[in-house]
Amino acid sequence: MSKAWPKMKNRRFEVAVLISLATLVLGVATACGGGTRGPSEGGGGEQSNRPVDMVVPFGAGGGADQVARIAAASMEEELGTQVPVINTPGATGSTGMTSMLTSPPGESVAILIQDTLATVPYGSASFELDQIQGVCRLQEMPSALFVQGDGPYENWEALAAAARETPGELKVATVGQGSVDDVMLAALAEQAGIEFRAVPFSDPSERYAALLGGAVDALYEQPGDVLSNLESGEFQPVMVFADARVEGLEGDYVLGRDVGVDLALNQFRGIVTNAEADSATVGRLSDACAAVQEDPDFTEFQEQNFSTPESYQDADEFTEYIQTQADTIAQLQNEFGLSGQ
Amino acid sequence: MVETVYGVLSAMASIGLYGLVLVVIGVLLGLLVGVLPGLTFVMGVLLLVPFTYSMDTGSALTLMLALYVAGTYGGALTSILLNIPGEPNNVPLLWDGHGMARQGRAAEALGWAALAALAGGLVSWVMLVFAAKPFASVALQLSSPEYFAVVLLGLASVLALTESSVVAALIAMFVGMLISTVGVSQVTGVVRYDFGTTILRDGIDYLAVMIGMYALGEVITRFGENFGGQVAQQPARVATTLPGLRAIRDRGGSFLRGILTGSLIGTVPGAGATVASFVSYGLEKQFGKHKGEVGRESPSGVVAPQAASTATVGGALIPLLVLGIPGSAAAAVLLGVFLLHNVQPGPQIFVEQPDLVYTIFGAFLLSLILMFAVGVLGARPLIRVLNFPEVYVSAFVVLFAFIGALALRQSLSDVWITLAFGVIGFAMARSEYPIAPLVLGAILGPLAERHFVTTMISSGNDWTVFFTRPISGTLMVILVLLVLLLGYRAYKAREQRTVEPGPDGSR
Repeated sequence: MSKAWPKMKNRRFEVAVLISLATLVLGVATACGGGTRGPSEGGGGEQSNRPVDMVVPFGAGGGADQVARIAAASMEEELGTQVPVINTPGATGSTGMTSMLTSPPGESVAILIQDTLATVPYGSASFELDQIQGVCRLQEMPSALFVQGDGPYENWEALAAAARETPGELKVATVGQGSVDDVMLAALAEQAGIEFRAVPFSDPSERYAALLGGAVDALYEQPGDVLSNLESGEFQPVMVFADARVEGLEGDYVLGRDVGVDLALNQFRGIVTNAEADSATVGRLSDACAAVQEDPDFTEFQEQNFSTPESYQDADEFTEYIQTQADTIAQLQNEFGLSGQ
Repeated sequence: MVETVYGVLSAMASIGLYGLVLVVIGVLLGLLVGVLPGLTFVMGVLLLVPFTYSMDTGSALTLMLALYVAGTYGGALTSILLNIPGEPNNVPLLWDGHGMARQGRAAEALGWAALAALAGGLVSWVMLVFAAKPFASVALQLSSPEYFAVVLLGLASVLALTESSVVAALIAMFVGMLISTVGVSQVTGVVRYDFGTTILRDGIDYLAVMIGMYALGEVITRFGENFGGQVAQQPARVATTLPGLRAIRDRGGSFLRGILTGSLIGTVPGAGATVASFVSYGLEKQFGKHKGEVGRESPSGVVAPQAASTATVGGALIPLLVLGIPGSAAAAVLLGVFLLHNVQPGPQIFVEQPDLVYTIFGAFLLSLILMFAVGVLGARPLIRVLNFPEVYVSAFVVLFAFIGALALRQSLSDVWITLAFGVIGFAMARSEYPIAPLVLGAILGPLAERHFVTTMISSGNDWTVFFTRPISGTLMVILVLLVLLLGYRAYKAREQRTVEPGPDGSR
């Protein structure tokens, strides 16, 4: 022992080093943590300056993450309070939703996307629809089927012909079983008689690599998420589930209704919060969210994502939309035999 | 090629003070998040994103890349010195690295780790700069069956790790895999083993298992022993000791295996530094020149996993730059930054924005050098940690563990889960069950499951694809041979023991 502690001076130095290290660490942790704090004193009724957590129920770098970061920056200015972005991935977004719901109502919001919503009727969600309410919908965009740019299928006709020859053999990369992707592929089989095999890849980069490397024949995705692959010509759209051609999306593609599919479940990204949050707070959040649209960064982001002009919805519209959408998905999952539990 | 070299050199020459400062900040932050368990380098890179909004693309990527590179190495310091894996990919460093530290060879272990990180990074850098395209096209040919085979190889390293009972190790590994199935299945969306509770439905994060078992479990064990009243090891007057040339040549194979494993696995989107680290450790234990000593304070057991971990950085950047597909989670964040700055990575980036590509190459190289320098020089104050009475060190370990657990998802549930696994880890250590296989199972289990299920869905439930596809078939044959070899060895060892029980035959 005595050998290890040769001089008092040294010891003091070491303690100082450790303490400063610990302070630094704690500082960083608090700065990063953001979401860790005690329960609200006021109950959230009156206007407060407490930070509002923005929970992203997915990992970094994806579309939900990007929209959250742009929206948070702009909402911070509007609200005059901090809006830290927290990534809480897991269970197709369910984990993030429950984590948002455990915060005091009104002090936490979360990004809701179509895929997370679909887990509610599917039966794997850890939250109920009546626990959440809409704040605003920021994006709505069509989905499409993509094939390799210089692959074996030149266009939809070629792909469809091959699929008819070997029903259920051609593979389409999707996000997961029971997802909206699955519903749309089932609709394609049911209504157009073209049957694919849905292969789930929950990780986006694996999904894209699967098409690039030829492990799957086609990919179900939103055009904005594969923009770089579209620009480089590696991917091309062959069928878009929309009523009209998508502005800015080039290529030789057909529309869903051209092949007899009258269904389009658009991807959406919006902000939701706890249903128990009072209307004044939700109103403030909704107003701040409306202002996001004025942000030039956001406008550019909307273009990159091929968002529809009707993307924005306010709190009431979005709450209603969530409910209708969930009902539709539930009905379709039932109809196509895709129910989970 | 000449053009590339010239481009990289001029990018490095023109980096300027601002760029250098960014590299320094990035490397320091990378080491810091590497040291903290629970705060992974992926999260570190992610937390930087908002700070890069106002920067130009080159500066933003420089900062983040520096953090990413150093983050794969920072955890080596705590693994070796304190037996806390700062990152999941550092787990293999506990076995030999911390063992060396306990023997009073901490400085040596740190030296090997620093050198391995540098070598792994440098070679993967060379591959990135000069052979990105062929590499990327090979990586694309791999799909779920191959990923599954690679993960199985990682799991098979459990057999290699076991010193005592193979059965106990296998039980622990399967328990670990079982734990990883708790929560919502990523592929099918089915809820498993939640017993109606929200905590379990949200799943058990393998990081919580890792932190609890290693950090807290160890502290509880030592607490039970009253901390022995002693410092952990001899006074460490020495700083990092870099190995001599002859020693390096002697371990050349370990470097090579680690670097190749890391670079290859890094290019594959389905696996990252953690898988690379485990697989290369397993290879070292099987085929290394010093395989006999791996598992017991062997420098090879430090070199191979660390070289592999850092080599994954270059590997992961290859598909990112060439194809616009990230090879790892941290690379996915980098992709997000590219897109935020309206740069589309992909083949065209080399033509349209060569300067940006050279800046990335240059920043990567500078970060490696700086990481090495800080790692070597900074280890001196760090080794002094071992001079503290263990009681104080343990208090910090507990603090770090809880911060780490909370940082996972900002959820108190993870803190409780971590605590629970601390107790389980303690109980397992007491009843002489090995902890490593359980942690390995928890980390690799979900990957194995996901790739297996995807393969089965993709092939229409035809299991033969694992053997009929050339690359996965080859990997599977290696795996089978490996398991047979290990089984044979274990059998022989047992036979020998029954024939002539040694003095320590009780083990």
